[in-house]
Amino acid sequence: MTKTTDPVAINDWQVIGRIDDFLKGQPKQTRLLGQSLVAERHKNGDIKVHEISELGETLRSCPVQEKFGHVWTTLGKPKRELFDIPEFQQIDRKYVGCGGVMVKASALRVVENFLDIGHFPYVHTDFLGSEPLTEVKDYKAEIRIDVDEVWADDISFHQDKAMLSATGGKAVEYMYRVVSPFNTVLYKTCPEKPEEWDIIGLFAQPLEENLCRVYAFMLVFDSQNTETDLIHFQQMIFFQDIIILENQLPVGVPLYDGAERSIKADKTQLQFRKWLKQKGLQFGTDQET
Amino acid sequence: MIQKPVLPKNWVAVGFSQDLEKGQINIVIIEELELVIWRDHKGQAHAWDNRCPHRGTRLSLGFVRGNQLACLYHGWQFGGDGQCVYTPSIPDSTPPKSLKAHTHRCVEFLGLIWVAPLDFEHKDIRGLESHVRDSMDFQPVRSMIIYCSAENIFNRLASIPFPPSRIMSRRLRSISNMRLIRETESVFLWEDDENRTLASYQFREIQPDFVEFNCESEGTADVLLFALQKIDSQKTALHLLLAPENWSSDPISLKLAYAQWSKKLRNQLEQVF
Amino acid sequence: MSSKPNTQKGLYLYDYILSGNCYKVRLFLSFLQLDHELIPIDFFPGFEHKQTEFLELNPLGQIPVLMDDGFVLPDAQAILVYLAAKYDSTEAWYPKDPKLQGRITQWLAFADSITGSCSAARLHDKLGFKLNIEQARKKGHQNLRLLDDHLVENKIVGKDWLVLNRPTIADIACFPYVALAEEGGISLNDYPAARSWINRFKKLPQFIVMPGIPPLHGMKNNEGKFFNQEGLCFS
Ligand SMILES: N[C@@H](CCC(=O)N[C@@H](CS)C(=O)NCC(=O)O)C(=O)O
Ligand code: FES
Ligand SMILES: [Fe+2]
Repeated sequence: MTKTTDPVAINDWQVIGRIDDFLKGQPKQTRLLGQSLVAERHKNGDIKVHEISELGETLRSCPVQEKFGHVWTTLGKPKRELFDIPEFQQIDRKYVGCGGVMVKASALRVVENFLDIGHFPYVHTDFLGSEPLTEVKDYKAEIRIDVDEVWADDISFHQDKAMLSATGGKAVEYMYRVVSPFNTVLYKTCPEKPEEWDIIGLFAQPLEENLCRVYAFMLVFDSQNTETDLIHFQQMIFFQDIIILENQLPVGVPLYDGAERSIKADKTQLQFRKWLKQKGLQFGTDQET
Repeated sequence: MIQKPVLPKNWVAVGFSQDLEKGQINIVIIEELELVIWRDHKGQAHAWDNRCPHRGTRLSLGFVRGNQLACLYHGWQFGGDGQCVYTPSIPDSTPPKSLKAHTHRCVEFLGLIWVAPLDFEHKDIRGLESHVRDSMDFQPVRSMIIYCSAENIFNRLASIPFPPSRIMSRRLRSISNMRLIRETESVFLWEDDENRTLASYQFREIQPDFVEFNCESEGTADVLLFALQKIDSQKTALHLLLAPENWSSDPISLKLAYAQWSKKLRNQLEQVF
Repeated sequence: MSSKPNTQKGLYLYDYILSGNCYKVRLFLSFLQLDHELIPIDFFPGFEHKQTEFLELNPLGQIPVLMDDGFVLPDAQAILVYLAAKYDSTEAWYPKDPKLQGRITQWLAFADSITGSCSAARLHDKLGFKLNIEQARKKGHQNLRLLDDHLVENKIVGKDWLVLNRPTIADIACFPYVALAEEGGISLNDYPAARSWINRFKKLPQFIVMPGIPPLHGMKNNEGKFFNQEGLCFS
C-alpha cells in the first residue's frame, strides 16, 4: 500500500522502534502508515529518519525524538507535543521493554483489546481472570477534553495472577489511559507497593491498515523477578491476545453504528471509538460500504 | 468493489458427519463465505457465519458448552437458533432478542453435513435422496482439499487414475501399457495395448457438484460419490464416498485403497497443463 | 542468564515461553508429571541464546536445553527421547519395539522440518526475523498436507495418532508448530484432520497450554468446574 492520506494519523507522533534497535552505522528500513522509511543513527548519536520511495530514493526528512525507551517520528506536522508519561521519571521503577511484535491486525484493534477487561477469563485464563468470576462491575469511562485523552477509572476485577509479583488471586484495581490513537497505558494495583500503581503500556506502530508492530513495556515495582521473567510474563499475555486480534473481521475498527454490538462492559471502547470519530481518524478503521 | 460473499441457493456438502464429533467445531468455506460448523451435545450440527456479532471474532476459535457455541474472546454463548443467551461480563442480564449469530440451514444425509441458505425453497434434502440409488451402503472415504476449481475438476478428469483394483490384482499390476480414453461425455475406459477394456468409469450428475461414479474393473463394480464444495476460484473440497459391490471382504483395506487413489487423483488434478 | 541452577541436582529446562520447541518439552514434562525448574532465556528481544554464556551450553545457540543432574542435552527431539527412556516406566510414549522406535524417529525428524518451515514463518511474521517467507510457507503447507493425509489414512485403519492409537513422543514433537502455524500466515483451513488431532491433544489428561494454543473451555461449565470425558455431555 502507499502512504495514507489520513491527516489525523499523518500529523501525529508515531513510534518506529526501540532506542536500542538503532545502532550507529546500521541504517534500518521500516514502514509507517503505508510509507517506507529509513532510519539511521549518525556518528554524533542523532537518529535521522527519511521517507523513501519504492526505488529507495530519499524523499524528505522527518522529525525524530527519542523518548520512553523508543524512537518517535511523524510524517506531517503534529499539532501537539508527544504525550507525556511522567512515571518514566520515577527512578525506582523498573523499566522493561518487551521488544516489537508484529500483529496482522489494525493497530486500533490492538488498543481496543488492551482497554478490554471482559476477555480476561477466556483469553488469559488462570492469570488475569477465570470463570466463574467473569463479571465486569460498573466503572467510569470518559473523554477528557482538557488533555484530549480517553480515561477509564474505578475498575476492579478478580485476577488469579495479576502480575508476576502477585501471590494468590485477588481483586485488582485498574485505570486506563489512551494518550493517542495508537498508544495507551494502564495502571494496576502494585502487589509490592500498594500505595503505587504498576504501569503497563503499548506503543503500536501502524505499518499498514492491517498490520502493526506493537512495543509493550512495563514500569513496575518488582524487586523479586528478573527482567527476563517479566518479559516472559508480558509476552505470554500478549501472545494470548494475538490469536484473537488476528481473527477479527473486519480488520479495521468500525466507527459507524450497527456494525458491532456492545454491552455495558464495553464502555471504554465506546468512548475510544467516539473519540476517534471526533478526531476524524481513518487509518485502521473500517469504512461503511 | 468487493461483493460480500453469499451462500449459493443449493445444498452444499461441507464434510462428513463422522468428522464432527459432539462438541467439535470446524471451519469451512463455501464460495468464499466462511462458516463455522459445530455439533452440540444433543448431536445436532449447526452452520453459521464465522463471526461473532460482538467484536467480529471468528466463532471457530470458540468452544461448545452444552448446546451453546461460545466465542473465545468474551465467552458470549449462542443457542442452536443463533440467539445470544449469555454474556459473562454481565452474567445476570438477559441479552436482547436481536442479539444473534447469523445462521444457515444445516442437515445431515448420506453421512455428510449439508448447508443451504435459510431462504432456500427446497428445504428438504430428500429431493437429493431420491436420486441416489437405494440400497447402496455408502461410507465415507475422506475429505480433501484440491487446488483446482470445481469446473476444472470435470475438465481434467481425462486424467482420472486407474481404480484401486490395480493394487489388489496381480494380473493388472503386470500390465505396463495402459491408456485412458474418453469414450463418451460421461464414459472413460482404461485399455491395454490390444484395446481390451481393463477398467471403466461412468459418471452421472445428480446435481451440479454432486456426481456418481460407477467404477468397474476385474469383475467388480464400485460406486463412488463425489460431493464437491467450491471454496474459491482455485480451491475445491472433495468429499468422497464409496459403496462397493460388497463391503464384507475387507472394508478397511478397500477404503484405504480408495483414500490412496484419491491422493493420485488430487496430484493429477493439481498439475498445471 | 537470569538464574543459573546453583546446584547440579535436579531437572532444569532452559526455556522461552513463546518457543514451540521448549513447549514440547514442557508438555512432555507435564504428561510425565516430572518436577522441574524453568530457567527463562531472553530469546527476544535480548537474543540471550546467541551470547557466550549460553553458547557454552549449546554451541548451536538454540533452545531448549535440558539439564538433568548436570547432564546437558540440547534439541527438543533428543530431550523427548531421553525423558521417555529415563522416566517413562510405562513405556507408553516411546515403546521398546524396534519398528515403532524407527517409525517414531521418522516423525521426530519430520518435526524438525516443521520447525524449519512453520516455525520459521512464525518467527518472520511475529518477531520480524529476516528469511525467505514464501519458501517457508510453501514448505509448511507441504508438510501439513503430508501430516493431514497421514492422519486421515491412520483414522481409516483405526489410529487416532501419528504412530499408534494413542499419543507417542512423535505426536508431541509435531504438535506445537502445527498448532501455531497460523501465526506464521499458514492457514490450517485445508487440514481438517490435523485440526481434529490438535483438539484431541487438548483433551489429554495433564495437557498444558502455551500462548497461541488456547485451552478447551468447553471442558468446563459456567462455574469453571471441569467435566470428565463422560460428564462432558450435560444437555
Ligand atoms: N532442532 C532443535 C531446533 C530448536 C530451535 O529451532 N530452537 C529455536 C527456538 S524455538 C532457536 O533457538 N532458534 C535459534 C537459532 O536456531 O538460531 C530442536 O528441536 O530443539
Ligand atoms: S467478540 Fe465474541 S464475545 Fe466478544
Ligand atoms: Fe488481553
